[in-house]
Amino acid sequence: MSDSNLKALHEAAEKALEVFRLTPENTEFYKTEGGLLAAKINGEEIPYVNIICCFPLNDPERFLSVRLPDGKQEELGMIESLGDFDEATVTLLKEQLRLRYYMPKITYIQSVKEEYGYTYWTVDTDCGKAKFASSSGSAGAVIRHGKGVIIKDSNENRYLLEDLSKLTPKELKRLDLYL
Amino acid sequence: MELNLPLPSEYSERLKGFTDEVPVYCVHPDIDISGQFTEDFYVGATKSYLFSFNGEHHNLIKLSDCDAVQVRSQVDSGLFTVTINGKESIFARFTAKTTTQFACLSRGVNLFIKGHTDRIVENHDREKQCMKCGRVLNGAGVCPKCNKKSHSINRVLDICRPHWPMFSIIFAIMGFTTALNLGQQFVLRWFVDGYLEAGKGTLKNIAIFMAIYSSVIFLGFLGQLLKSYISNRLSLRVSYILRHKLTAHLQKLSMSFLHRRSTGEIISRIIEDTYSVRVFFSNSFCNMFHQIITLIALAVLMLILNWKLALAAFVFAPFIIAFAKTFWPHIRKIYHRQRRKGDKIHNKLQDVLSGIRIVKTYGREKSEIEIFNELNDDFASVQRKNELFFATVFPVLTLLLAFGTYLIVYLGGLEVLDGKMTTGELMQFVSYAGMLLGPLSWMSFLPRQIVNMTTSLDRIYDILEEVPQIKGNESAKKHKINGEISFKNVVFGYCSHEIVLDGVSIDVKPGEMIGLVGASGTGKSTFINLCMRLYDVDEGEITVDGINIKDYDPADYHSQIGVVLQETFLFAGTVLDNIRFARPDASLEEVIKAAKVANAHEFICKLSDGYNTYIGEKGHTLSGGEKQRIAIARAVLGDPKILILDEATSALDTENEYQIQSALERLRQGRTTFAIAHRLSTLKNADRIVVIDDHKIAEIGTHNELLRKKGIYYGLVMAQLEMNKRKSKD
Repeated sequence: MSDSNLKALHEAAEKALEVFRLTPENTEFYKTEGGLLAAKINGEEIPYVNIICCFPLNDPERFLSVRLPDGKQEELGMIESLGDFDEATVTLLKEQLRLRYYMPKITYIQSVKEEYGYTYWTVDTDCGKAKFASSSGSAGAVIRHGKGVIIKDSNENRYLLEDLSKLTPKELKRLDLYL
Repeated sequence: MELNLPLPSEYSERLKGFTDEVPVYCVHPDIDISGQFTEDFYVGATKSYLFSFNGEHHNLIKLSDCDAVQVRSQVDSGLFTVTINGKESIFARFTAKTTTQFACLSRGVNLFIKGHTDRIVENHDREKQCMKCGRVLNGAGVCPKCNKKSHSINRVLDICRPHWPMFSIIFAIMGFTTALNLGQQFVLRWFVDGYLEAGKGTLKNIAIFMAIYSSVIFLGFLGQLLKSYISNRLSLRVSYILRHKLTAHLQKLSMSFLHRRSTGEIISRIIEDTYSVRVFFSNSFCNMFHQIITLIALAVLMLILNWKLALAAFVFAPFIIAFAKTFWPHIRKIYHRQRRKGDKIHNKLQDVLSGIRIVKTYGREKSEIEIFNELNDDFASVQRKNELFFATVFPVLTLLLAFGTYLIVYLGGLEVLDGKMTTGELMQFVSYAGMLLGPLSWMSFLPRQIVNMTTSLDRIYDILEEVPQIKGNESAKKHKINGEISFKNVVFGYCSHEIVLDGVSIDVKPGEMIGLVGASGTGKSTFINLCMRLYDVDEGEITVDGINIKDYDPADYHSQIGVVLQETFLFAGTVLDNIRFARPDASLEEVIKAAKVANAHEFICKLSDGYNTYIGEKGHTLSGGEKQRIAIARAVLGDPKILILDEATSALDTENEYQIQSALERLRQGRTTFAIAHRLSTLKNADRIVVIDDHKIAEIGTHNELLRKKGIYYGLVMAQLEMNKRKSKD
């Protein structure tokens, strides 16, 4: 094995340990004509990048990993906080995060009905009115999350109910069985 | 799964304005690009156009202008993009509901773009929702609402049908005891009115009354005894059959189903839910008919005897019915909640006990106890609330029922004083009113018992109605395998939209050893899962000795495969039981020979009870290497034609590894072998090495050929050499 090979392996292993922090000084984000996210990192243009939250449920605006979209989805760098960037970039990144993470927030529970092993929900969400079914038998269909719950439907879509304390008594009664 | 939904007529007309072609694909995403739910969005393709319609908006692109279309997976959703002149743009957005349809649309449209306009992509996944009523289809792909077979009453009838002789006997006994109970009061009335007056009756009359009355009571007692005995036998039989059906069916279900459910949940269904069905059949089902017969007979008799008093007895019935109806949904809820909490406890226990070693290693016993106690408290609190509910609500019901009796005593007493009724008649009537309390109060508890049982039946049938994905077709045959295996353009994904193996083709000769190499998650284990037919391929085919793998009888095929995995699982039982697992009829001599081939005979002889040493939970603890050698002996005994070694030596020390390597070397002689190993030195004897990368076969050849090629395999070998070099330096 040649020395250059060994050196390359060593460098790759060392590089994997490093966290390359993306800052306004070394990175510029922009939107492509087709609505996707592109970046210029240390002067190198990357036509399409993915932005991934390390803690999407906990802290969605910090520790955002910017990666190549294909193949091994190599990490290009990490944004420590959205607040590091200017307002226009923050708006752009938030828009991209909304494209990546789709979890409608439930604003009102209209009805909850149990039939044949499934729970049928009719709810208002920040994305409009939704009707879906979750498995009544599966323990993973309604998961507690912070002050609220995440409901997973039979198609694997998830809906967030952010704060149970904000529900009306009527809604709480409808949700009663699952809490 | 339907990939060409009918386009609404308005959109169809608009499409005709651009092209005469009809849609070949048409899917209906549930969100628009901004993420808002929509009912009006349609995306599809004709052979020359990609189109989308959403209300007044539409988008049409000539396929000849496109480079490609693509599905970009996001979290719980996806983007469908089009690339034109190297520029990619979002064309549609969808949730997880339509991911499969979009993946197929993307594959189909790309074929058109490449000029394969004659090739139409199909998808054989089952629909998830009923096209008629929108309800989720059950495991058999049947709508529980539209298909009457799935209704609880039909399930109960299905369970009862094979036991109708026993049910007939129970019903006959119940009819007999009811008649006796009612007749008893006639005897009492006859005695009171005829003889229970000073100077009217004699000692002889009292003796006759006593003899008749006690005989009736005794016969009633015998009837009850016999009924209890038969209904208990019946309920035990019913729960036994359900448990048997469940476990037998679980064995047939495919891995994909078993992966979706936790072990705790499945165990709870087999043990607790069948128990609750048993309790229903033993305590409620047979009694239900007894109570109904008694209720009807009492009502008729009371109306005949004195219709006015009868109405007084029934005056509170509507209140009771309204009361029960109000609480019915609540009872359902609280029972479901109790089950759910019970499931959580099961799952937690299963989790903690399986990982007890990790819990102890990290000193997390206290926090695990706290978590369990929290769940336990939760469960106990729900149980307490439920019991409190029943303890409060149902005595109120009984009180309401008792009011009827007080009314009868008052009104009937007045009639006796007026001479319109005899004392005996009043006594008979009051007894009947009292007897009426029994069935009515019993029936007020019935909702609880029925709900309990139907909840359990729903959970049991949820498993029983799941159709095994891997099953032998009608012409499935048993065939002695030679070991020639061919993958022909195999495409497979655990979900049809997430491809794990893409267009894999390889021909393996009988007796050949194939080493499978590649990074984690590239599809090596999937490759051997397909060889073992734990899953069926989505596209292409796998043939064994020239016959499609799907045409083999699954049980016969599996009996000709031997598997040694990294994590060896030994069942609770003796060493002998575990080795014989592959072939229960093997002689003791054959077992010893197999153990010798596996280098296991020596250590087994040193165990206290030799081959009869109990291993598994609470038994003798074996080391990783010893367990592995027993697993190899098991594989040797099965005399498989195809051998699967999945990281069989990765977790062993050098001495153990040497022993196992030599055992494996002996084992693989004359058998087609697939071996996965991250330690590449263990594959040096492989006839060919297959490198899987990015879900495809990237390289294939002998060790030396691949080294000369200086590709992925070469890189992996060099990386391992480097690591070994570092280790030796350290």
